[in-house]
Amino acid sequence: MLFTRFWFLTAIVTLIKFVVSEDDFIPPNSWENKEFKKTIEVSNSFTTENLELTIINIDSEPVTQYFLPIPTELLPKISMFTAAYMSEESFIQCMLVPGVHTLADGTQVSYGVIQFEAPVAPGEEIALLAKIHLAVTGTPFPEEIGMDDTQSLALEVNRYPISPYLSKTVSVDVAGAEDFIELTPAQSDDEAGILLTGQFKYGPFHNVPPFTSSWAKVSYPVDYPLITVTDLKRDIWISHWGHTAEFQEYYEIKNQGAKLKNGFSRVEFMKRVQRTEGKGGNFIGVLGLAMTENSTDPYVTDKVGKVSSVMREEDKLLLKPRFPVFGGWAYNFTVGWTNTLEDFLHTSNTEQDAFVIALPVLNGPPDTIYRNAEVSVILPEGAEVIDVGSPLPFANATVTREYSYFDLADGHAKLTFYYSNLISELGSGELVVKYKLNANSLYQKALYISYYVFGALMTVFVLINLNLNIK
Amino acid sequence: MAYENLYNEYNNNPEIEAFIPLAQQPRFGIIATILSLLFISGALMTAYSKKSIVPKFLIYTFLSAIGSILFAIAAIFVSDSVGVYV
Repeated sequence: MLFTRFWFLTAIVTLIKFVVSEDDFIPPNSWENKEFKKTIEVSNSFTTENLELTIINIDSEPVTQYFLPIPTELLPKISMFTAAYMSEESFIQCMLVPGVHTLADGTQVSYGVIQFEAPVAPGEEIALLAKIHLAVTGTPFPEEIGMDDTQSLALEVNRYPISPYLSKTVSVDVAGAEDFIELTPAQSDDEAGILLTGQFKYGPFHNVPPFTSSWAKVSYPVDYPLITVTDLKRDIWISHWGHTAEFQEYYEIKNQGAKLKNGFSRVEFMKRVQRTEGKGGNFIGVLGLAMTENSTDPYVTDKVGKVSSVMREEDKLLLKPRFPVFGGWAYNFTVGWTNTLEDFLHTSNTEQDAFVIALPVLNGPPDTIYRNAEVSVILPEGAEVIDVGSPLPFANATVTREYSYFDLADGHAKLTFYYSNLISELGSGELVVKYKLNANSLYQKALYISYYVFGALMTVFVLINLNLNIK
Repeated sequence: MAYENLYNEYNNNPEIEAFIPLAQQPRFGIIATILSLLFISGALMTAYSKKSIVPKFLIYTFLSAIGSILFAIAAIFVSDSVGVYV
């Protein structure tokens, strides 16, 4: 409950400084993992690692940092990294740090750090929960399948958590699919995985030395498409005159699933849909797009024109693309809707004429990876930005000017946040912007229009009364 | 945390109320349009009248100013009414 509702209040992942140290970095040996249980969830298009840790400070001095190893190649793909105490509902600060260590098998590991507020005394034991969301998914295995075949994905997992500390008891589970097959045979019977109901278990292993590593490839069936938004451009226009917040999103999506082996046949596809009643399959037949609550006037268009194969179901749009999107195929479209401003905008009691607006970072389809997302909040003309807050780390943020209808002064202030490797689960987080818009700024639009009209009328007066006759 | 402070400020304050409710703007837009046309027409008629230039100019300026402001209000309300929110 704590993770699902309040994750965005944590100091989540700070941006990794992409200057990887050339020196080999090994954290101080200050901890012992009494128990390290790692569960890799593959029930979504993205991967989630849930870690249950019981750790003891074995150092002679108080310690404030615990290092979690993360394969360096996965670092840019981390969407969220959070940790909390098991015993109480409070989050702990987490960050990614530079520093790389190369293991004996060639694996490069970097580190996530759990930073405790108060130093942990020598001998003290702590129980933690950590969660890492990764914008990665298994690769199709095989890469091409027939239209009626069930897709399988292969994911590379490590049989050990690769901790930099000695671990008394360690287990790694892969969960979230009906069946698992271990494609990489283990070097010993102890290391071989065990298939249980809905999960594949490695361990428990005892007295595991630091940086122990053994990679395995595990395949599992996935009978749905792997939706990846390669580019999202999301604009939210705020109008005080219209008392509206207009949302407009441009999606470029790709199905990262297995490709068709024998090409596409419309007849075979229609037979399949009839036989299965449209259920299952690794193609995108219908896309469910979440909108904000109480939204009105939804529309969907693409490069061809208006998309009429759209149905509204409460706060969701069910979009049927012009063609089924199979593995390796792409589709793009624009969706928009309108909300009243009171759904998102509050006044501020700290400053006169100031307002605070909170807008969801993402809407869109569930169970989706976003490679690049550009989220813009376009404030009314004449507004001055006072403060901004994002629940997610962003690659870049800019403030520019955007001109629209009847913008005769400086245009709208446009705040743009650039995100990469997000997952749809993080969309519930809210961008918060505080800005100032006084009455003069609001009336400015009407005054500028009236200036131009008045100027035109005065010109007309001069032209009417100018006598160019030659006598 | 800066984000937490902003978020708490948002949650601790009331929702904004509409400056002029959107549902009423079509009516105000039509009224403003009619009034602006009347004032601008009156101004143009004054410009074409045979009066002497100074009183004509003063009357024309007054009617044009009012007509311009009403035109601007009409433009905003009518555009909001047809879904173009300015």
